Amino acid sequence: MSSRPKGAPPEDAVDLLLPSASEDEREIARELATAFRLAAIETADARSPSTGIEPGLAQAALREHDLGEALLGLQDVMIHHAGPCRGPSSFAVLPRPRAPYTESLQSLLKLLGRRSEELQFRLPAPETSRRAALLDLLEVMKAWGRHPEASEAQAAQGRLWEARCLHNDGELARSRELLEDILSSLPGSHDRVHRRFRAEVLAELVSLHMDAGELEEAKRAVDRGGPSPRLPADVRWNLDSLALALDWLAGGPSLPALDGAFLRFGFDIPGGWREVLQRVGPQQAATERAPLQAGAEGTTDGFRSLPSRSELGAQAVVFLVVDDQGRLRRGAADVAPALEGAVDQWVRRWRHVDTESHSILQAALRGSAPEIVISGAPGGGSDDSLRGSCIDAERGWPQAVIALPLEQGHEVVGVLWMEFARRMLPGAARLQSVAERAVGHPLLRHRVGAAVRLGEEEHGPLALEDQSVRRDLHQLWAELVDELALKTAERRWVGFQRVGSTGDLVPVASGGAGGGLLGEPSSGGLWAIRRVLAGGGFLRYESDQDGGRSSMLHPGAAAGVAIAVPGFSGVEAVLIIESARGGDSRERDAIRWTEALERRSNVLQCGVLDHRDRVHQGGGLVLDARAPDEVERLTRIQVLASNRSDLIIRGEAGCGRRTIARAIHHARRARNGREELVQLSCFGVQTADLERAFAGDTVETVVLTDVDRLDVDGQVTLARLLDREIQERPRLVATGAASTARDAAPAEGAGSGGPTVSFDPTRHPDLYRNLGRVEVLIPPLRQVRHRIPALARSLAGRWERSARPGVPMLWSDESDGVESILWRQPWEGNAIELEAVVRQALLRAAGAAVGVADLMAAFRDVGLAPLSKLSSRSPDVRDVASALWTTRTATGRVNKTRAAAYCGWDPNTLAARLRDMGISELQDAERLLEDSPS
Amino acid sequence: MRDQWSPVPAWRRYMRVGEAEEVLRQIIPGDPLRLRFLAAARITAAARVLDVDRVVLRAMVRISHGAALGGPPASERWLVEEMDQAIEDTVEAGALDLDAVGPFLKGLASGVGLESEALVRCCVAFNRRSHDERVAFWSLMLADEPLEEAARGHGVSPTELAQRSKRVLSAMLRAADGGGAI
Repeated sequence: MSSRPKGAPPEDAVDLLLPSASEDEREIARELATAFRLAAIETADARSPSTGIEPGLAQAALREHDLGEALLGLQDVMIHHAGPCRGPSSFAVLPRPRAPYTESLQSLLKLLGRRSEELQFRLPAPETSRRAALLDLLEVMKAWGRHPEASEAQAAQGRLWEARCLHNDGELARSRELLEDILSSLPGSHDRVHRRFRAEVLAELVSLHMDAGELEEAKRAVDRGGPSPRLPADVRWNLDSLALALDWLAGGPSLPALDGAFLRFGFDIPGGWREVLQRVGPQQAATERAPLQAGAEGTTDGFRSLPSRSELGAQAVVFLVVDDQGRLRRGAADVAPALEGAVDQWVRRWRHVDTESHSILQAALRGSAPEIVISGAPGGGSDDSLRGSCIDAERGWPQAVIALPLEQGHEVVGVLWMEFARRMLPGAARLQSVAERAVGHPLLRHRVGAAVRLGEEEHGPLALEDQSVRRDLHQLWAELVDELALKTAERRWVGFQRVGSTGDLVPVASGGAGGGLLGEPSSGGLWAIRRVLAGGGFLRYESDQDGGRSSMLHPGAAAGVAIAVPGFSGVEAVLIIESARGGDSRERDAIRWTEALERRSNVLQCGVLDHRDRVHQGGGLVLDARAPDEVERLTRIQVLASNRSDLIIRGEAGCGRRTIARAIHHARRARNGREELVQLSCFGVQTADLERAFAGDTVETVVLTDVDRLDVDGQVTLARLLDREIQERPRLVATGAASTARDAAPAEGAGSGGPTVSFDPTRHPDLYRNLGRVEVLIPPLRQVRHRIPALARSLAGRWERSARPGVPMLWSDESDGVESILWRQPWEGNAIELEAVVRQALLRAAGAAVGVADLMAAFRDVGLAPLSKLSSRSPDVRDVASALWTTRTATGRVNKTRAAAYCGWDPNTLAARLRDMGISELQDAERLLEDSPS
Repeated sequence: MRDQWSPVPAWRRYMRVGEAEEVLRQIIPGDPLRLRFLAAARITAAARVLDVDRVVLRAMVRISHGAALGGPPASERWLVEEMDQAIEDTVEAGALDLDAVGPFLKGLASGVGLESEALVRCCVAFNRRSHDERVAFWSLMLADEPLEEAARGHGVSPTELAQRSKRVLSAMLRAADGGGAI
């Protein structure tokens, strides 16, 4: 223990470290040590909560910080747009964007807009050309440079961007002049920030000389930056990398590590250098991608269509393949610009498959089952896994990651990697569909299927989904048969249904207590089904008809009735009821049964479409046959299915555009051997993919999502493909964002004219005009709130069945409280948001039933603030109608107390609003909902 | 006083108020996030010599900005990360501006008979050294650990530890003498 007083100098240590120093130096060292020691003690003691922070000072610091972040955000956007503007062979160097390019950027830029009118701008629209967007952004940057609050460094940064834009436009002389001007105006300070900026300007000058073919001038520009490094390990910034590259051109040995040197300091290796590297020699040729990867990139046969980031709500979607030498290589990717620069480095980090590593990626490669890791999820350790595995942990690790292995036989041949900034993950069924679309190549499709199915034959999501489909079908039929009030003691029934797209009827459910007398169903009796299929209605038959007992479905039956259940385009299902007694089914009973089934055929139709979708692993269609507008909705789907024409479905993200597209496909009858559904995303789709999709003889429907994002080549190809007669090709069902013109009064339905679209040179006029002839508009969830409870239950059921196999999960036992909260939310992200909240609530509940507390925590987890009530001042009449309908009693009456609770109002407030709106009975609410946007 | 940092139980509600200015107004009075405690712990862990109040100010600004843009964070870990970044920001700012190191060190200088500018330069020079060097110096000179014990604690040889400390001390002496610390 030291005997010195607090803060006394550690004399021994000073003597030890500076044995040959003068006494004066030692004295100074002791004083310094004393001061530092006191500082450390002061710091350690500074734990009291009373801060000396003055609010005014803090507000000023916040404003300065906001401004700095906003300017960095602006620069991020500029980098995003400037990257593609560079020629592929340009030597121009651009830094990597700083932060994930998300919606928060818009908020960030608003902070800048508050400073001045000139600085108010929005992020460029996706269809804006890169160059035009870049020039707009440059104007904002220059405007800030003129702002009185702008620092000299910020003004200089604006001028550097101006020089970069001139460089992009090929005005090299003007760009050079401007760069020289910036260099001459830089202060002579030697601090690191100024030196870094000077290096950036010189790097731009070097690349400009290289683009002009002036190697000597480039070397001179490098020399102006001071001493250059000799080894890649000594690289401090991009100018140093360029110096090494030029040195290599002159015969130096340092090029092979050049890309690493660039990446280490946050720059991509410029295209010009990349081109030089590719011509270097055989060692570079060895890095050419393996044939498998070429397939993944769409350069060989097969579809390639990755789901886009926006489609999944992900910040990165990367397709990785294992090459012939067992190393991971990057395939197609859609990555937020801020992460783009880090992807290659990340791939290099995990290049070698490591059997010991605990990273998510390596676990997926080893385990060959999908790895889903969610931040803060039960089990712990997820945050560490995310941090250790994600593309760029320095920029903040993601909230969730999915690594989906791709298999061939027992060999993992690749991984689909998805990172999510929020905890909104696609469900397992959707994941399957995503993976299939991501690797549409037939070989890889097989591999993905194998990967997802591995280990799930008995208990996995697909097996559970299959069992669930059968169970639901059986329940649906059992409910329908219950309504027929059969005396089932001596009867058995079998429900046949067209669950497949081929049109064949298959038995899906059976029941009745007469099993002991009648025996199990056999293959006989199908003639009766064929007859009712042809004629509809019902058919009574006896055992002596058409060859004795073989005419019966059940070997012990003496009489039977076959009842056709009509659908929108003919008989969709048949119910067979057989009895042990001859002459059991009376004529009037059969008529009553037929009428009862006809009345409920819409229930069966909803079930059929849902089951077809689930059987095809589409996730299921949530159709509630009891909803006032659902029959109309079904009818429209059927009309769209039977009128075989190309169409476009528009709506907000997550409102169910692809679901409706699939419903339209499932609702049609297979014909001419065409029955397949091909789903393509316009992100990354190649013209060859489109041609292959439309060339398939077995493809009935091509669903093309985000058609507004199709590039010009794709548009030209698609327009050419659609010029063929529709009978000779698959039908196109495209999806797109809601058009502004219809946003004000959205309505789902077929129309004869598309929206008025202003002239845009990047949009093929014929293509979009023709597609717009039949346009379906899907209303957002907040306009059809009465569908929310059923949708939530369905999503919960889907998650229970598939996403966490083996983990029992229950939907709410406080359903009214939970569903009322879900009902009143605005759901800006529609079903995607709803699904995320439901899923997180189930995770929170960890096997117990979801309660209100779990739900509120789930909202916080996914970053949403739940609304406690709807506005009662000027409520939407349809919201009120929806509340009344959702909370109706079993006897068909309104329950104003519950409805008020759904709205978050006092019952008296609801009563007053109902008086204002003239609503008194449930029928009034139903009439209002029938006129809903759907 | 608690030994381990943790904010008040309902700390997330301070982050839910929307605008950054409003978040800032909420988290200053009474320091409900206990940022001062956290700053002290993280500064010591990082072996830095900094003005705690200045770090707390930066952390509050970063947290307000982040909460307004991204909503309330899911875990306390985010606050720790923001604090670490605030420490790095303060170090970076200290390299640019003598005033940025705050009155804390200046006051300390007068107490030990050094020129305040010299002490500030030494402080900047110290913070610029690598983490290993700072930790070695901290153990030997500030925590007053015996050389052998400190070396064992850091898993290096006593010679290496002494050399690291000496490099720091030499850099500080050069800075005190007016050499290029800034």
